[in-house]
Amino acid sequence: MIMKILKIVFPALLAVFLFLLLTADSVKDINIEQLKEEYTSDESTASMTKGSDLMLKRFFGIDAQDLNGYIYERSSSLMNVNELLILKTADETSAGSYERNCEKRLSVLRADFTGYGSDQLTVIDNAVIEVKGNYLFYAASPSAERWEELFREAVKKP
Amino acid sequence: MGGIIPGGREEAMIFSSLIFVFLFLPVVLIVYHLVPARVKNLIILLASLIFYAWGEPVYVILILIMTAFCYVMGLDIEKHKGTPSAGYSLIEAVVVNLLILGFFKYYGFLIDTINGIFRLSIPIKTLAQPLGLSFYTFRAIAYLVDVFRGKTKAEHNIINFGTFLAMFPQLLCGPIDRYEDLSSQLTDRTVTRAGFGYGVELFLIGLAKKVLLADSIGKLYSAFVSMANESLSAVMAWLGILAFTFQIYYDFSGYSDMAIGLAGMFGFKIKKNFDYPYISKSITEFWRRWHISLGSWFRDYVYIPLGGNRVSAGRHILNILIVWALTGLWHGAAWTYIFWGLFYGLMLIFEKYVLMRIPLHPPAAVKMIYTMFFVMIGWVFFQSSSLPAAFSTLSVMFGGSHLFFGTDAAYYLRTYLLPLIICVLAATPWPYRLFRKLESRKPPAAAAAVGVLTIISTAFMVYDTYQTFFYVKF
Amino acid sequence: MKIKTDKNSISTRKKNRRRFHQILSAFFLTLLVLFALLFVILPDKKFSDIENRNLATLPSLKLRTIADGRFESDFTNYVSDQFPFRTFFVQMKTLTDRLMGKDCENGVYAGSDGYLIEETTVPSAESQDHLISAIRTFHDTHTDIPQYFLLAPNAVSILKDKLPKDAPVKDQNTCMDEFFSKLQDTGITAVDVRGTLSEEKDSGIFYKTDHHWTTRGAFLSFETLASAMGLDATSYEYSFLPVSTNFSGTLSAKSGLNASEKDTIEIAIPKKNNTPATDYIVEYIEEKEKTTVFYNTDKLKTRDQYGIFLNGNHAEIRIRTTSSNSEKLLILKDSYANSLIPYLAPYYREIFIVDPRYCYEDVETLMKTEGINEVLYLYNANTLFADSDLVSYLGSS
Repeated sequence: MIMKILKIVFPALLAVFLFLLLTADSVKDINIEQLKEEYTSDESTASMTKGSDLMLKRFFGIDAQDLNGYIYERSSSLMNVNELLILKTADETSAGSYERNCEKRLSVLRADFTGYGSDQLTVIDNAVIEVKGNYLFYAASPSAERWEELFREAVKKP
Repeated sequence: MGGIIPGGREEAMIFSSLIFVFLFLPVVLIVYHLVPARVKNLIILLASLIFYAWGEPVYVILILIMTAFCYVMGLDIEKHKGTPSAGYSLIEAVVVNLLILGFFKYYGFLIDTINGIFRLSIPIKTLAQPLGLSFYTFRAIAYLVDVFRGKTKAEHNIINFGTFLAMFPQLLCGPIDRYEDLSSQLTDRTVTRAGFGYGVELFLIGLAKKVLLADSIGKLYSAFVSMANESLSAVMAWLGILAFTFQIYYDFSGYSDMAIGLAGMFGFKIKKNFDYPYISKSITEFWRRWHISLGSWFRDYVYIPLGGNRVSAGRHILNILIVWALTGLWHGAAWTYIFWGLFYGLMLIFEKYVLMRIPLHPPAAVKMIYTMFFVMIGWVFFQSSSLPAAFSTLSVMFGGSHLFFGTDAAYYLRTYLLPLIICVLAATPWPYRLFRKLESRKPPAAAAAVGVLTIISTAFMVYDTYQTFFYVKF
Repeated sequence: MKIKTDKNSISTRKKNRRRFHQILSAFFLTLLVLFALLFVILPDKKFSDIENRNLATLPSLKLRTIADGRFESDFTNYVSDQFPFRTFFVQMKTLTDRLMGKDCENGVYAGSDGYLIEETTVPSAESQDHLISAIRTFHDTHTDIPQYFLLAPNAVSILKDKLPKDAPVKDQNTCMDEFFSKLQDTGITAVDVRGTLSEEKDSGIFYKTDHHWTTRGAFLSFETLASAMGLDATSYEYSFLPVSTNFSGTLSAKSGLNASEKDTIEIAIPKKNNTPATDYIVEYIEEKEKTTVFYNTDKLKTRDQYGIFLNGNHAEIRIRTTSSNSEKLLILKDSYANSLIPYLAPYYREIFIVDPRYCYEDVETLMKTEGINEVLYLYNANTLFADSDLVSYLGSS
């Protein structure tokens, strides 16, 4: 009897597992302005300024009008590579495709600072890129982990 | 192709990584040999789960459910042996295994097709492939079929079953060993000094094959890959394919050696997976020597159930083609792999129905050259990103290029001459025979030789990580 | 009798094989445990001098970072960065490669006479077009300002006869010719120093272990540049003073080859009869530091000895001089410029130096506020052809 149940339970469990795997990334719709508020009020972004559409284009090769909103904060100091970027896109596929832009950004920074700015390099090497649903999160900063936490909390489905 | 692990991620704890050799392995060995006999399998199982979880812990859940499922199905099939119910259970178990394998391996391809047919745009979510999935589902299917056929009893102890299915030495890259070979060892085995020493020897030789031979000659292959076909000379193309021929052999057989050696350190005896395939005198022989556990799996669980060779010639040919298309597909969801498999199917049919009937007995050297020629043609398909790319490489190799011998070939032939010679020699049994002699005459000298090889292997493993980070650009 | 000896030798053989396996097992276990222990006991290193970067440290254990694999990859990096005797093993590997006949590591060739030569970087057609159009646009907005482009060749071009035979490097001269021909109708004066350098190629114009040109190489190029810019190069004379004889540069670190080869670094000292003597204030803007010399000898104590020139790379540097000229020059450059700028300095009232890789200021604002009336691009070919920052910098406004 137990055997008969188990014969069905395990395949069912597998199905549930696959389903969860496929839907694990689903996110809730958030107000990007509200989230921006949350970041700018945080003391870890105190020395950072807002990046413009132009800068987004220049450093990431991303057009702001292709997005449904973004947060871009960058360090106001020249020799500092700290950056925070959160994109809200129309769908999951395009969020995923911007991952490459972020990787390219990191590889340019890495090439520039390799053998030259070791502290910046550490920040670059520990940078976080994460795609969740139609959101992309990018952070290069000693506080990257903290920012990521904020991001995950914000988009998490209740 | 950095390695043979399908869908290999960089975080995966492969055997030739510093973290595996110098941290994971010593800890597991010490714990294993300290604990009492009855918990040894549990230790192996736990170590295997940690090993598997490294980098992608979520799939531990998958492997746990799969293991429990196959365990239950094995018991169920055994219990109802001889009744139709056993057959239904077997079908259920095999189908679930194949569905899981198919889901992860062909998921992207599947969604693409569905989108194409129904004009949908279901976004493809990139799922990391669970490592070793092709190996452990095949091991599980063999077990279930064997229980059904009465070839072996079902395993009643779930820890032992888990150890069999998920044991870390064979988890990622095989060999696809059979439960019938391991069942008695699971309950009763001892690690003898000789057995342990033999395991160490195999592991270290395998490690050297992987990091010293495969990875080094792999550099020549990457140089070939980075050249455009138009600028390639014919000799360079042959050189590139030759480099791949050695890279895949030393990569894969080195990994198998390491797996068998590791298993030996824990008292398991596992059959060899490679037997000097590159000295074969025919394609048929080649496949008796290359990835032996996979070949015998397809023989026992596909070819023979289809009727094997005890059928009409037409049916036999069809059987061979089915088996080899599937063998190709097993290596990856791409047309190049299927083509590669079918190419071997055709070669085997040709040998069986044509070559065998010609009363011609050329010298062994000619047969070996014939075999290696077609094996290399096979690798052209295997390593190509697409079928057109494969044919374009072939055309360069066979005179389609304006250049027969260029400075590229001259340079790489000169700088890789010694590695190539070593690769050729190490693919034959002679150096190993010589080494056996040394072992039995001067044990310290033989041990010192392996020791030096190991230190050099370590240097190569360390350099590998140095290289990944080090990239100066001013 | 005969059978007996055979039996004996079989049993000896068996015994010997057992001994072999025992020795090997002992060796293996000792090695594993020794390294595992050394790894745990030895204190973690913070910095790798040879690679000039911080080494990975032990990542903190968190459930979430384990679940997404980040802990595992961080930990793997930690193990490889902190592996005992790391540098020794790296040298051992390159030595093995050399013995096996390999003469190239990481894109660096071991050439004749101890020269390490980096392979050619080939630009993509697309990125090259972007660059040219960015330069053209910038020129068109400032047509009244004379603009120069000095594209320096690398050792792979000038010293190509020192490369290993048949080395499969792309011809850098072809790439440079193509760049110069595209530059032709932009209105910018191209400065090609290959002729000058080739004539003097045996007088040590490139370092053997580093990818830069030497002080002499820079001086020869300066002479060509000066005539293109209409400056009288003969008005100042220099003597060359060696300041270091143990320079082991980037190529040596990158490749691990020729570890024992050392270079000499010289600096150019103006001869006493230079009149009038010029004084300078070198201002590192971001760092808010000022000095009166072009050289920072502290850098000779570090791995990066080339950093003696203008204290290494900086986003922005302003040099004010006591020169009687009133011209203000903007230099957009990479590190090749650092050893050449001292020769240019006496001809200008002010030189503003920008390294676009690290500078995110707006170039047009800079042009206005600094009152720039001459522009010089100074890059080496390998860097320029891999660079994307200059395009972004010029296009930032």
